[in-house]
Amino acid sequence: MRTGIAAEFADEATLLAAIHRVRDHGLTRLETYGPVPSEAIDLALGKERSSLSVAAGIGGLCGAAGAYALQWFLVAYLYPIDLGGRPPHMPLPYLIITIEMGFLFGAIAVFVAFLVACRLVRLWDPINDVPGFESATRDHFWLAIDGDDPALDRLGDALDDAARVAPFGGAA
Amino acid sequence: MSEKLRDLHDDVFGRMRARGGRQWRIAFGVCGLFTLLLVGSLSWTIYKGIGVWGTNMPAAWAFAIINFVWWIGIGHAGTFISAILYLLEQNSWRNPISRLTETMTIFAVVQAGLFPIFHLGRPWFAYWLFPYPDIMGVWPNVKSALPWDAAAVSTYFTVSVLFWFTGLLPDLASLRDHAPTRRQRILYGLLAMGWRGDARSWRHYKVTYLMLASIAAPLVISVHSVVSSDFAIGLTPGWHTTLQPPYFVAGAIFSGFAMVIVLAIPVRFFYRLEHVITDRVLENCAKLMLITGCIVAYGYMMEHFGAYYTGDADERSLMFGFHPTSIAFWMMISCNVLAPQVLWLRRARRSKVVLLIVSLLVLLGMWLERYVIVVQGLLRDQLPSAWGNYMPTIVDLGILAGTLGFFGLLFLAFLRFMPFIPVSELKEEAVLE
Repeated sequence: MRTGIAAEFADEATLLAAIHRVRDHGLTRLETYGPVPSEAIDLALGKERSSLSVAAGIGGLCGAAGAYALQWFLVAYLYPIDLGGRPPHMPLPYLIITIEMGFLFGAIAVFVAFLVACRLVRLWDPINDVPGFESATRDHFWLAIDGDDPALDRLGDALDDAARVAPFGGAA
Repeated sequence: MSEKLRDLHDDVFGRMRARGGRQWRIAFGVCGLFTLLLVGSLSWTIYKGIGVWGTNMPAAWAFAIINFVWWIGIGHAGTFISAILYLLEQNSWRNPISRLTETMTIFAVVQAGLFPIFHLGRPWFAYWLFPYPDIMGVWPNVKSALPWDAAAVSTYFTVSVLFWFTGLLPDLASLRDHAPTRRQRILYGLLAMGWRGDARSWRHYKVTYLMLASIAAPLVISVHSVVSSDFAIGLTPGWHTTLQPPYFVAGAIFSGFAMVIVLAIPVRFFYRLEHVITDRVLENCAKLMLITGCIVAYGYMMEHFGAYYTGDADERSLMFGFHPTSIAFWMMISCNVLAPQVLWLRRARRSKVVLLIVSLLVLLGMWLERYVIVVQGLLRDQLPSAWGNYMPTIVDLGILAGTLGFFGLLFLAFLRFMPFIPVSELKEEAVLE
């Protein structure tokens, strides 16, 4: 089970200062929790922009290509209908469903990738048992330091600004 | 900053949690009755067949398609607000109403979807529209507009639901963490899927939301364009024109904004959210309604100019002659072209009563527009011997009234149980200030 130390901060600025101090002490396995997204926090944690857009692109292209191929397969190959001598393979009417399926599979792909990347549908996490942690979805920010961090013993006074510090997941 | 977030959180969630009380229950009851009417009318349709509708030759397309196009058009403003205005960074006035309008979109598409399915006559075979391997070896003909519609509408619905649900996650998590009862905590906990607001999730969330908005934005254009091609690829007078796609899209957004105003004014009044859904929000909606209304008026003009300029006798007599639908046509012009002109005045845009009246007129006018487009050409096509008349039956009217009730029922249930103001987006906006 995941263990560690959680610290509550009243605002983003104090959290950012604490992240910098903690990182200066050599700790690396950090995660923050808060009510709003923040680029400053991502920067402080040293995280890059999410690359999930790639999933949308791949899903969209696969969906579009698959839809075009399927339409050709159905209408030109499996069940051709002669409508006034028009050729069975007609790119123009195929394009509409091709584009729609591109959008559809792009959206589904990015949503599934989002669930996987955020490790969602995990209803409970040890940090949820920290008293007062629900303030993370209201107004406060939390910093969690993983119990497996090799530099944990060098934490020192880095969390002194925190409104509250508590272990979670059975860590001492 | 922390106090600002807390005040915002407690204020908006507190107001949303406020029990609707008697007014809510009465409205819910009325909508429930109309929903029963819908269930009854549709059951009767299934039992007897679509002969109970007024739809018959020459008006082989009538109420079902009119209502389908009308409802799906209403949905468009929701996606326009939540996706296109998001991409254009209009967050200061888009955020307060984005959730309401997305919800409106989804519930409007639900109503729209009922019509083509029941118009099939044997709705239990609706899945024949999708390509699936069956023992008959028959496949859908994708050169026909019907599978295009099925693809466009089901894509629109799915993408709208994903976009809406992604946006809901942080607010559902807030509801879970601050739920007063254990039952609510479990329910919202399941819906929030374990959202904890960690930095990793937020990072992916922002990009996912942006990608879904980018995908939803072109759908605003594509869905009604595809719907219009149901008409445009037919040879019926008044349908066979390249004007149709942009004209349909503008009309869709026009009627959608009218519905947004009709929903937002009572919501902000009953939940006392005037400081969140501000006058400025409504005024901007009114401005967009005016702009799209002008595009629609231009569409009417070009429709007539096209009929005149091509010199086609059937098109000309349809556009300039007197028909059974002429009264509906002039009512449509009054509602869609004349009524919105009052919105050029700032005082009219600021007056809730005027806004409500104009919006209701626009909704009526846009319904009449679809009525005129669908029925007029069919009643007066190229062969005078095939001319006829059309009259809806009581079942037709029951289904239309029933979908209005069902829409209201779903919407009221959403207001009661779900966060209909995107508080997390308001918080983000507050932090950025």
